[in-house]
Amino acid sequence: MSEMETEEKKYDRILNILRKSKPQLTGMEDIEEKVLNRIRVPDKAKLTLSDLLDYMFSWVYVGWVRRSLIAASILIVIVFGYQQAMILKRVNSLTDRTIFTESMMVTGGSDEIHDKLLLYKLTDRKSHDKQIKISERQMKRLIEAVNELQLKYDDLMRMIEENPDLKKYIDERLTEENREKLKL
Amino acid sequence: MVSPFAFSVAFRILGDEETAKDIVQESLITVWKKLKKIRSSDSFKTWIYRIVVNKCYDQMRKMKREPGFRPDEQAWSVISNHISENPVSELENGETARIINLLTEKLSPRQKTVFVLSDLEEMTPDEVSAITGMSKRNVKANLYYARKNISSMINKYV
Repeated sequence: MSEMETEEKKYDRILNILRKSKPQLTGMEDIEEKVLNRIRVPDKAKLTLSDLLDYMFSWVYVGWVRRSLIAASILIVIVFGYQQAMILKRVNSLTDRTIFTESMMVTGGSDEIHDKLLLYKLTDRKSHDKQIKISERQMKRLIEAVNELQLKYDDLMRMIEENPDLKKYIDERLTEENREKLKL
Repeated sequence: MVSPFAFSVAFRILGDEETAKDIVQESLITVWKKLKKIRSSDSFKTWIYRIVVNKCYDQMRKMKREPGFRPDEQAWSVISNHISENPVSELENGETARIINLLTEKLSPRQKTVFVLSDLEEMTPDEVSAITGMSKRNVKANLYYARKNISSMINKYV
């Protein structure tokens, strides 16, 4: 007889013995009496901790509830991990941006292209990366800003021309060089 | 009518007579309290088994492993003696508990429960699945590991 068959036989024999040896319940009357006593006396409002835990968590013994909870917790962990990765990415990109505090130019609020141009100017026309990448949308905004600036400049010049006192004042204040620049 | 089979399951899972009697008592009280929830008489026995098994799980969590527990040489010899007998005689409660505890020493609570219900109580996978709340695939997997573990224990010591 092969070894495997012998092992199987041993296993089957032991199982057979255990199956035949049904546990014998003794003291049945005691159990019945205790149960009847508990049933007769109405349960008082007092809750034991194990009763409370049983009441709160007995639903986890239901198979589909347990599986759903496991799936939900895995999903929550994945979503959390993804959110953390996004936050980290955003923080890293923010630290790369240079933040300037200065008065707003007439073109309005600051945006990325504005920051890049200002940086370009401040670093004596030497760009950080030797080049600046801008999108078509940013180019359009730049052109609009320039046009707006041109209009405001024209308005300012007209105001100065219409007001001789103002023109005189500005003439006195400006140096020759600056006068040339402003084309007064 | 409920008590004998409830006791059999509880005793075989927990391996202690007094604890098993407490489980039977608690289960009967729970049955009495929740009798209204029974939908049909067909599921009555499954429902009772489920209550008993859940209470056994709670008990197993409370029970602490004895430190330094080792397979008992004497208990293994009891097994050997009984195997060699012909015809095989029945074991007493104490011997049964000892042998089951030895064989299932390294099993998880779920594996042990599945083994007891399938191989000792001779239930079908469907019945075990309904009682434990596990899928049939999980029942079969747990049973496979339980049998493998027990066979290796038997081959080592018997």
